[in-house]
Amino acid sequence: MRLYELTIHEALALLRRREISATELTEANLARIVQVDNDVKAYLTLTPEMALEEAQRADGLRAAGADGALLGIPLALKDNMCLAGVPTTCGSRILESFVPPYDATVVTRLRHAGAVLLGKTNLDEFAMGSSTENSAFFTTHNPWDATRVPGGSSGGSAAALCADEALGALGSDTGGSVRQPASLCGVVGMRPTYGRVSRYGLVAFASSLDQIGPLAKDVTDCALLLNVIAGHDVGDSTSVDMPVPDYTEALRPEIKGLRVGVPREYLTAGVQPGVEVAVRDAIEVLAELGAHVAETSLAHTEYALPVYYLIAPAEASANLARYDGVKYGYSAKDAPGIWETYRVTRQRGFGSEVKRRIMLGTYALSAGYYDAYYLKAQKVRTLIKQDFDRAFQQFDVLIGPTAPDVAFKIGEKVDDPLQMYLSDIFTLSQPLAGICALSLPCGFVNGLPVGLQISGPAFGEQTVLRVAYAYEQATEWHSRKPQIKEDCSV
Amino acid sequence: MQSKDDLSIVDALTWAGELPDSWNEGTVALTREEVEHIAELTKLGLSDAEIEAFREQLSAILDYAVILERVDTDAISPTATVLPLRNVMRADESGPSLAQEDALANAPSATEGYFQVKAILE
Repeated sequence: MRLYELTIHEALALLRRREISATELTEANLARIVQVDNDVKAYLTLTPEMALEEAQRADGLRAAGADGALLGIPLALKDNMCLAGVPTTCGSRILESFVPPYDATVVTRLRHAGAVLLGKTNLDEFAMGSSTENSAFFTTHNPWDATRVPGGSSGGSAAALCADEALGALGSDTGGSVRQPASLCGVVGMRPTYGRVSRYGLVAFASSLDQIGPLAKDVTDCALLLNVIAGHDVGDSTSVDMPVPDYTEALRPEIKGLRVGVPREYLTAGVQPGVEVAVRDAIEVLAELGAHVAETSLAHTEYALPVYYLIAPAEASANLARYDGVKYGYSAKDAPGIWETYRVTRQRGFGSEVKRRIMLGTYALSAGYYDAYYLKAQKVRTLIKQDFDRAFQQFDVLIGPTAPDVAFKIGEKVDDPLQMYLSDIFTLSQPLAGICALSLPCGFVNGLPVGLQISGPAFGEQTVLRVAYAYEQATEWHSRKPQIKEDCSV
Repeated sequence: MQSKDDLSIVDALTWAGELPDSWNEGTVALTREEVEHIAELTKLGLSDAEIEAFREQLSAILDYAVILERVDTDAISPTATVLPLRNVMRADESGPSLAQEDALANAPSATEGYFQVKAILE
């Protein structure tokens, strides 16, 4: 049995029956990483010594009769979440040497549940991108086809999971950065409702949109991870003080009578034909399972892209002002004077996509343009939110493709910012509207995964998980694995 | 007029439905000075090549954002936050916080418990 191929729930069952140890499980994952990561390039930093210590501690606790929601389970973290004592680079040269002195709240929660942390995964710089090509260090490869991108910005986490280099992973989602790479890599990825998971220790990109979310090999694992990371945190004043249900209780494959809406704007001319076929087939499956499926409309969908690409960069320009060479990170010590220090530090430290968004955001907020751009975008955001509020009066969930296409070639869109932005069109609205959404595999086009996106109302994660579980149990997509070239010289 | 950027805007707007009337006028033609001004507001040093590249790319993206003018938002309030939370407060009591040496641990330049910077006043 290849232990690294297990899901979290399978591993927990074996651990609880003492059939495997946490140490063996972590060793198997670390060996797997050595075997494939030269090709996949999912990880920026590995923490094998810490991981083995944690695994041994987990074995000790279990032998003493203790248990934990994730006791002994090896996981990967996107490198924009602080792990004390370990570099957190955000995929950027400006933080290449930054070692956080504290843990993100999600890390504290994972540790409390007994999880083992394998390392930090690659991402688009400061989570800005849809392909992981914007990482200042290297591009991660899609395990299904190494010439293609894994998606972004949580491409490292999605690829690591898909290649069995971790049993689960965390990513962050601002405009789709958990769901889109999940779709392109054929894994499950969820964006919880804004405020469901603490952002304390998540390096901020866009403060009204950022949310940490789980990536998992199946829907059950996704629910297990969400159970641990969700919850109120005094360290994040935007986290909601609402009880966290046991999300695994939502995993009942019955959706008879559930009302499923299909927004017509999500199956438009821009969607790749193979993707449309896979999604329509998935809708058929839900109908066969007894759901009531009907077409609906989210009239302001076409405005999500300009709204997002004004609001997110505006908020990013404020959040990234702190990178000035004073408190942490790269500093241009050769610059003459304080002002040049700022200019040169930021010029040398940031990559071009980050600079582009900072510039765009600064312009949208500047005197004379604030009303026309930022304020206008915030008003249209209200209309986008109202579209969803109305839709959720009639429907329990909304369905569509996660991405308009399957994984594209590395280098294909890198010179064309607007083309790159278009790959997010179906995942931008949910963060703007403050609702939750999940992507899970629903087919393949030329051997590349297609993702089905299920959107639910704010704090409706249970319904979304139930629909996802029902679909997953009725299909086989989640058991398909890529063939990865293993480094046999190791 | 037939640059790669133009074609991508056309694709984007075709997806969105229709081209706005102002598109052909290229309403948002940022000047070099405007780009330099924005860069200075955010203290971002840029090379000549970067200034020109951003001038083109930002103009194209902002041109695309013009489609928002089609939406009637006169009676609509902005959404600054999707949650009904307002003014989350706590009691004004001090508690544990980051130790000074931890706070300074990543400082490019630190002295006697301070972050050290170059002179602000000339």
